Amino acid sequence: MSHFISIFGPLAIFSFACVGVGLLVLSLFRSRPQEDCAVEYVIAFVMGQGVLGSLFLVLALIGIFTKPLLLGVLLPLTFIGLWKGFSSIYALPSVLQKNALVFIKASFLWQLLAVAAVLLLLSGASAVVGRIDGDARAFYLALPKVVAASHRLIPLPAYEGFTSVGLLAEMQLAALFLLDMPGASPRLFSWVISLAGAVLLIAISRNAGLGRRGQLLSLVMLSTSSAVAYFWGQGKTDLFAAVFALPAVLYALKDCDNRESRRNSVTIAGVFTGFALVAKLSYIVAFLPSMFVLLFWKDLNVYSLNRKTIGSSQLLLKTLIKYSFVFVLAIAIPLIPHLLKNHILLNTLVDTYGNHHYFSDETTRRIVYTYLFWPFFGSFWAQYGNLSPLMLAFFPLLILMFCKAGQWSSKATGLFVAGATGLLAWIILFPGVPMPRYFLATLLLFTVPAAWAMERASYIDRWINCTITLASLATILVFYVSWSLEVFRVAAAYEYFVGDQSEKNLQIDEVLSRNVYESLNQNAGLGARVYLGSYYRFWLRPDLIQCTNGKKDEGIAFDSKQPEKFWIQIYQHGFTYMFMDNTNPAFAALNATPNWVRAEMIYPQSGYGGAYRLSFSNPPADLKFTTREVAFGAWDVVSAK
Amino acid sequence: MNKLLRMKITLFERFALISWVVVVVYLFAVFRDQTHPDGTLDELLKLFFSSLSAAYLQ
Repeated sequence: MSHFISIFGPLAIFSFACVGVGLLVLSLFRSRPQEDCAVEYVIAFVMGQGVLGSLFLVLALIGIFTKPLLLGVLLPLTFIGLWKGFSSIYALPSVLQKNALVFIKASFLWQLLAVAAVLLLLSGASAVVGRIDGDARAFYLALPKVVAASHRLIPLPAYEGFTSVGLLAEMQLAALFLLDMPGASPRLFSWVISLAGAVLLIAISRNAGLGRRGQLLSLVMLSTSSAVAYFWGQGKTDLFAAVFALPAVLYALKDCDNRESRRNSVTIAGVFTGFALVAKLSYIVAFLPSMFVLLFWKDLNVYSLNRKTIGSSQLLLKTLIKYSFVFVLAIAIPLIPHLLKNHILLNTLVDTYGNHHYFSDETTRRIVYTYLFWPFFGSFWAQYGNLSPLMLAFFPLLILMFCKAGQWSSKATGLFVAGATGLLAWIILFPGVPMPRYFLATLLLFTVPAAWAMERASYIDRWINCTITLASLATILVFYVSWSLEVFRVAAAYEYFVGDQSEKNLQIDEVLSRNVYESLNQNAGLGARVYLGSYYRFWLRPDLIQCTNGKKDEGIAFDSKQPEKFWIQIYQHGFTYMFMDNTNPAFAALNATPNWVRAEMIYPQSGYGGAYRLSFSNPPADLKFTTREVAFGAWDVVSAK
Repeated sequence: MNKLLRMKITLFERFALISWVVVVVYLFAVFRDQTHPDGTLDELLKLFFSSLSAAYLQ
């Protein structure tokens, strides 16, 4: 079977299942503001992701996350998704015809821009053959692979504490692994959800009063943001939070006819915000304040017009309290499975990591002083990408249009104020964390007012119109060329998709890195203990990952003054294989083996690490740990006695 | 919308805006495939002018 079917088959099944369950959940909120058919399906898809991710989390905690159960859940939902989708297909020809007419009537430059933007977005699928990010090889892809193989969720060895992060995205990837997607291909789902994000951003733009040009420009800014494109295929799960956040923004922006419609709208916005918080807890800092601004933007405007009227303050206060309560209550619903998971696995509810003080005071000051520039040109440690330069390029135009138009109550202004509020909260609390992925949805809010200004200006000045289209086209071109080795590997992706199931068409670094782990996979028996002198583990077999060094082995450390102690511990803990990075402190131990230890090289040491088989003759200590298969595919490290 | 459509952009505003857009897109093109500085204004300007002079010398 070619890669194409084994990759896109499970993706399609899972995606339609998400749509199916999402439609069922949304049908509970009949009197809510509706979008057009395509956007409704995308909202349902994102809702389904959250619901299924939470459900899988519970199933994995119980230890029954098996393929028959997964298929039993997914297939009826897939059928519902497909059935609903095909029952609306009658509307497709007229929609296509309408869009084709608009396209034909547009000027050549706008036509070219539309084609370039769509091609750029679609070619993002080729990121699946790119290099896997280090964090994904360590945790974000490794955990789902293990969950799928062991049918249970337990803390990943060496990342026991880190397992307290929200695992909504990881559980969806686990489902895709369980549906037999090959290699690391479930990471392609990040690209699929970014398509959903693109549709939602267009819907937000339309809701904010932007026309087709403005909607297209929002899409261009989204697609040329490396803070988005980098995550299409690198295996990190940061995009999930942003995509959960976008429907929340859409519902917060909606005009509601009556109280019930408003209550439903706020509830749905709250549920999506809750999913976003689970997916990325850092959204609580910058996204939550933005949501409060958006939810009450219209009320605040009405109040500012009627503030001299008696009772208007009380009415505003009553509205704020009432809907804030509904919103917070709705946020709590998606948090329940997440908190339950942390309580069961780690006996805690929420865990935070480090003090987020990554840079010196001087660098932090420079970050704050240049806040207008680093999101676009910065490359700080762990920043992972920039925003589209078009946002910076047309920021002065936004100021100009706001000043000249004086439309301070428009939704585009509301989005700008909401974004600025969230950004300010982030700067105050985390001035030295210049990392867009931690509050990506908040930063994406700025694309809409920027596109609003660009669209308006394009209609009133033909020079500006030319500048906008040419600058956008140049940005797309430069962006494509800049990321052609990391993201846009179209030719290699074609070979990968149409070829047999092998990983030889991945980026060469990934292939060479995988080869080292593959040598261990081919040599080590089931449940063998591999001592990992590395953070990375994704390409190991799932049974081997479960038995690698974790919390029980924390005491093992190499001391050049007592090299034998290290090897005694290695023997006592039952390790019979070793993967060693060149930079690991224990690397020196390989040159200091006592005479009762034999470290046989099974893959030569290189920049990608090396693999070794360990054998012991007459060891001077007793074995303390061994491994046992406690359920099908689930391996535990247990006492040898 | 009508007010917006009646709005005029002056020659100076147009010139300033187009110049700014050209500078930003040029900087974006210059930065590709490079190890970026940390995005601070002084480093951006230094790189901008050094790239301009390099282009001139070529």
